[in-house]
Amino acid sequence: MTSTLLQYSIILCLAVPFLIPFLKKYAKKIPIVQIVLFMMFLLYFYNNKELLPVSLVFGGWHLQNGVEVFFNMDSLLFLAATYIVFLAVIIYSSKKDYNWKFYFLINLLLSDLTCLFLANDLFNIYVTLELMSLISYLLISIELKNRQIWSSLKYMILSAISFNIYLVATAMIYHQYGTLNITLLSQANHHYTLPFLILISALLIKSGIFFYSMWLPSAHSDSESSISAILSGVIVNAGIFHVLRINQAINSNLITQYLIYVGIVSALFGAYLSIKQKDIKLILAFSTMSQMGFILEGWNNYGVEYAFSHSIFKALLFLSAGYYQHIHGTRNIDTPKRPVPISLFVTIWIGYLSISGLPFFLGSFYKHEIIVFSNGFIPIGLIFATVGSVIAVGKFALAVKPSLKMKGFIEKDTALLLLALICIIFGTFNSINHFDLEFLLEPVVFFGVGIIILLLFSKKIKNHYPYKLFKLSNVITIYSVIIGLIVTMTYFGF
Amino acid sequence: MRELELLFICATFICGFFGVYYTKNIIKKLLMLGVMNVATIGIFLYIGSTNSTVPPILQSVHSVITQQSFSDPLPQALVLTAVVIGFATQSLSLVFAMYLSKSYDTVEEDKIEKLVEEERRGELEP
Repeated sequence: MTSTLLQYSIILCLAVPFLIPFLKKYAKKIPIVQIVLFMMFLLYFYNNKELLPVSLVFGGWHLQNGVEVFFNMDSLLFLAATYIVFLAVIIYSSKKDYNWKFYFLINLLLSDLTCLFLANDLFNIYVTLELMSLISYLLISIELKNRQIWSSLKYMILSAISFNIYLVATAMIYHQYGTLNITLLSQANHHYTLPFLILISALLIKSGIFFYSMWLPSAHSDSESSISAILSGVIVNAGIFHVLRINQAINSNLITQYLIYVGIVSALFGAYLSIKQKDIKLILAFSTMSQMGFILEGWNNYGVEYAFSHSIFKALLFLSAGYYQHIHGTRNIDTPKRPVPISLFVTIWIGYLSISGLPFFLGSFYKHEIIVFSNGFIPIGLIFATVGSVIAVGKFALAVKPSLKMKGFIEKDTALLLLALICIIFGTFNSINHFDLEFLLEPVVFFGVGIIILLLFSKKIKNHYPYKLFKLSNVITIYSVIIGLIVTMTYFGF
Repeated sequence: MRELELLFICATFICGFFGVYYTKNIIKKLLMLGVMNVATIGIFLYIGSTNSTVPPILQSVHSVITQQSFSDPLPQALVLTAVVIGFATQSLSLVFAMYLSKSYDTVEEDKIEKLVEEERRGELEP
């Protein structure tokens, strides 16, 4: 029964976007219908957790050469985040005069992501990731501005390199194991580390990790706000989801250590560079890189739950940034406080308190657990990154003041309210379930330190965007260094 | 002989990668990405032909099939998808390159990057 339900849901998901070219009048409503139907499906499985995980091989083929769909609690959380963010984005941009092609792309992306979070073999992951990337390139450059097209092209070239590397690793894995199925790979007795290290590195290029996803700041900041929310809230999750899943399946000590070091570097560099920006969207883009580091650190401990939380509050912050830009016509925050409608003021602060990890807000408990359960020097680095994100996003939160006179936009307010309510309701339930003094005090101390630093030194922070570091040729140099390091690491068996 | 084939494939991949790295012309960069893609396809073909190079097609209904008597069809099926996706990505990137060359009158990466950066600064600090 459950596998039949899953099978028909996937077929429905793949068919729905292709209704839009034939029913252009209903282009806005069709994705919403899909979202509502699929949310009901997710709720059904959430209430019947004992039914999970569900595995289904299309056409009744053997696992070794069939297309397997694997639906577990991790997939459910990632899918829930995806559908919530898409619902908010569609509501947010409902008054804009986008034609049916935009909604077709959005719906196709949604269906593709659904398949991506259910895919369980390396080649289907590649196909769904490629389709996702193709739609992302189009969505980034939807306004046809030159800088958007350049960001998109840069993203495209770096992605093409990453996909070629991914395919080489896939071929090596197939040659050694005779299968690409992740479940079967996890059952193998001996694991060759090199192909999996290369595979995971290629996926990290799509995951928003510093030194890997150097396309991210320009792509996320140059695109239209609703698209930025999708990119930062959902697209980066696609890579990280499979990094976590493959790492769990392979269970190799070397790969885990590699991910931990990559994660802490990303968390620290992302936080540092986000502090140095004055453009709200760049702050949020670098902050995404920092938060992705946190998710990697929680590979065996609430990483997935934190990824869900991050999707929601990052989408909330990006949509708020778009709203702010819509009102004031700028994304810079080095000017005196600007008035915004009360609704926007409240949602910005809810997003800010969530990303800062304060109790009773979404993600706070998971962030705390990730910091507490890390080993060695990692917690110290994560604490610095937490304080860094308090300072960076705080610049945005402190740059606005509520105004009673200003009237909001109903569709934008509704979308932001939806995300803000999720942040508060889920956060409160979570905090009450895991109520203890240490969890309450620690985040407040980090937040306090961050706010004090921000208030005292905000004028002394020099703005700087490392333009040269993100140049295409320099990024490719970084990739060659990374590949060289991986080969050396495996050769000497570190 | 098989080692030589693999050596050529690896050499093509490395040529493609360094081509993307060294060329400043975007069109040439995209062409070199194509070279990398060809090498990737070559790797799949190499793996598929480990046991035999005979196509996996039955000669007659009575012919006996063993795993050693034909090449592995799975990598070939996979590579077909990779070729189509590679083609789609390359066409879209060439369209973008064409659009940029019309706007900036150049296809040099450094010049475009400089102009885009100036444009971005101009938009952010009116």
